[in-house]
Amino acid sequence: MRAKVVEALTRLFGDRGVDISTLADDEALQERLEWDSMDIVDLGMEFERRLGVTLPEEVGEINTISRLVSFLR
Amino acid sequence: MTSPTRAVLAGIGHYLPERIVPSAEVEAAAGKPPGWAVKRVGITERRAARPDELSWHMGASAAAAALARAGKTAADVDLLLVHSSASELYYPDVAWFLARDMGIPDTATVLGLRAACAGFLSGLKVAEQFLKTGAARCVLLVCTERMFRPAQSYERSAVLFGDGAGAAVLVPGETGGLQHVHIGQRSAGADRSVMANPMLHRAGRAAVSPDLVAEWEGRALPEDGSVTFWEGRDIFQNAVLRMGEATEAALAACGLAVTDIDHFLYHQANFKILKSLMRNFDLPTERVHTNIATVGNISSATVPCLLSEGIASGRIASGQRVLMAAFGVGYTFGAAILEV
Repeated sequence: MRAKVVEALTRLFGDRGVDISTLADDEALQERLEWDSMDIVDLGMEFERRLGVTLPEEVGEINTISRLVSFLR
Repeated sequence: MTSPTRAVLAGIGHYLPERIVPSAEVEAAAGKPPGWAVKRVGITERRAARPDELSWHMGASAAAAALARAGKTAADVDLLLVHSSASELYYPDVAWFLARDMGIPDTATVLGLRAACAGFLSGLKVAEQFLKTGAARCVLLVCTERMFRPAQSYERSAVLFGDGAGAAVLVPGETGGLQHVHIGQRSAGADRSVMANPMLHRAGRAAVSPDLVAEWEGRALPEDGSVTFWEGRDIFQNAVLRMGEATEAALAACGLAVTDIDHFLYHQANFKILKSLMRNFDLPTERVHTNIATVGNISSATVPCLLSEGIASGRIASGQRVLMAAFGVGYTFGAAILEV
């Protein structure tokens, strides 16, 4: 599941100068990847489209890889 | 047996004002940090019309270029369609000033259209119907937008918009041309983005969604009185989903796949919307045209400008298939497949 999350994050934010595969599970993604509100909407749509899950609107609260993985499980 | 009549593109043109406004000039006024526009929405600069350069002046310049490329004159036009999302006038529509200044014949049908950023697609649909039925033989479709001026009065949107115009001449033909135009709407989104003008503040207040009313309260009105509200997340999500929906509908109607399309021309409101669409459809970067970096969002003029720039540069060649799609407030959206 972690691999799927990293794959999705890389697809969306792979051009931000951060090697997402090297991020620690508890790093704050919002800060590292400089998310804005549109990025969060985009992330939600990507998860829905590719993984079939709907992220909660308060996605800021699950903005680490480990929390995203836990949510998907 | 004769082939069904199609709307064929005979000429295309565009006009951009000379004045270039770098994002750095408007970011501070919009309360954004330096570099925000490039990083967040992909806009480096935009064009701004002179104070005396009105929407129909820009439209006439684009129209003249389109007519010249079509080998036509204003006297040949029997249907003039003009779209302007935020014109300077309540009435009459700018279409009549453009008709007057260009010398469009009194016998021509003149219509003003309003379909926000999807205006060019809606105009193509109307043009197609007139040409197919024989009610028109030479359609001039003009999209002219002076978005930078009104947007300046709304601090947050000043960074996003620019001015410009695009025009197309369409004639009847049996091969090539418009293969299909799909138009859709989601009126549930009508209150998600509203710009009220000075005469209509009360109407504007009544029109916006309840969760945006609080934003309205207590705000000092800008000098020109225009006030804009929008729900960015909802607009972003719908822009991606609806342009995707329109793309799929147009492809399906023509029995085509993404791989059959040579060029993709999407409305340019935010580079992140484009990236999301490209990801969803696995679109190769080299087939997706962009101009948002240098012109910003020019509403309905965006798609005809992209088409005009693509043909003028030789990037879009005769016989190639182009898919154009746009999404606008309302919500309104559409997609068309054109054989150039």
